[in-house]
Amino acid sequence: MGDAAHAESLNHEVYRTPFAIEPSFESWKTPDNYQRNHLGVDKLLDQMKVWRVQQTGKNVGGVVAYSRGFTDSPDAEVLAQGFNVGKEYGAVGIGRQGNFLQWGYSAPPSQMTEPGRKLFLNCIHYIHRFDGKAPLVRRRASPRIDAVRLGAIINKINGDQEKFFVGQFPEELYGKYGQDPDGLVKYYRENLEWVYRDRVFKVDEELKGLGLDSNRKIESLQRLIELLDDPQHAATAKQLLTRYTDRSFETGQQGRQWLAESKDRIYFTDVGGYKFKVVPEGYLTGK
Amino acid sequence: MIASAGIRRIGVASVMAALLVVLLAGTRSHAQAQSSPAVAEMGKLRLLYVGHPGSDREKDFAQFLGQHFATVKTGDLKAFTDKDADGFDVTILDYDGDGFKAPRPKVSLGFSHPLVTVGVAGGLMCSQWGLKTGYM
Repeated sequence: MGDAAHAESLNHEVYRTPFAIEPSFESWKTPDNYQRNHLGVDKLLDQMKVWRVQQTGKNVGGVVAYSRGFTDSPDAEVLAQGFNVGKEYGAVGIGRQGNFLQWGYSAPPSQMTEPGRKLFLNCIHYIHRFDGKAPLVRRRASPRIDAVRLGAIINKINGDQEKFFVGQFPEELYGKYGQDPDGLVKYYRENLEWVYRDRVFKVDEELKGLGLDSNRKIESLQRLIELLDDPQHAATAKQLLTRYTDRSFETGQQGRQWLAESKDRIYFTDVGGYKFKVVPEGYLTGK
Repeated sequence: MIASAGIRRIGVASVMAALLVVLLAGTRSHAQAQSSPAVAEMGKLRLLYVGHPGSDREKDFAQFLGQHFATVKTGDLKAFTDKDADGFDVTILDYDGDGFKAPRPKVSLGFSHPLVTVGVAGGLMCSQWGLKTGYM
């Protein structure tokens, strides 16, 4: 990442207090890496609105974090998308997870722009609010969209492409898709809502078999708990609840009680291990 | 761990300087004038900047921060531990030069003091700690 940030996050309060950030905008050519790494079906614009956070004159030197999966837990938020020449559009130049705020820009204050300096001060002010709010999750797994990203490059890997394939995808898919990145991408796109990570990216056929349309919807969690009382499906439901929660339920009643106590605080995280987790009471208070 | 003696008190801004910043900020725009109490509140934060002692970068940060915060102390990233953040409202971890060669201190899983990490060095620290804000 170089000197600039995209203009998309400017409605966040960190741009308003204590100092109002009033950047001067510029229009910059969209980097080639954005188009290359773009997973959406739409094409990115040729020019992008940015503002300079610092003035080093370099297009590298700072760092951005991957945007994929960044906000899949409520402890994390993007404060600025960094204009970068290595990762994807939307990669995180300034981001927060719990009590940690990463300022990805490289320059010391004397080389920041005036809006950049003010934003740095605002970030210090902002992160103070999160005293005592340690992160809820740590990186345990790649987000599901990486199955699509990696599927697209299986035949562009230098070295042993089969080894790469079986390191990311089930071995049994190699025969069908080993030489067919488009087919592999299509397979994962069509099954994205059932993807989970168990050493490799798998599609949850057990969950699909129960007629559930996603592994990350709270409705699916509710249904699995209901199925604990269904003799025909109880064993599968129990297995899936173990897969997708950190808890063990013997009966539907146990599950319903847990749901009732925590329903408003439940979230699903790919990055945190493809699990439903519960935000501790009071964690989000004052955010 | 940073010994207490190893933390040098530098560039401690006077309250007057902080107030001057507030007043200047307050005259610049309506939006800023509205946020002046927040500027004053911000100025009371006690900061610890932990980087490369004696470097130009440390001086750059310390001088700037000293203009806005009443308490700014510095420390050595090579020796940083969780406990060094005790007694500060916000800690900043940074380093000069090649971020890939910068020290990467450990922090405990339960560490919950407000922390700002900066640049490549910061991104690599976050990666080491398993955070989403990490570089890789």
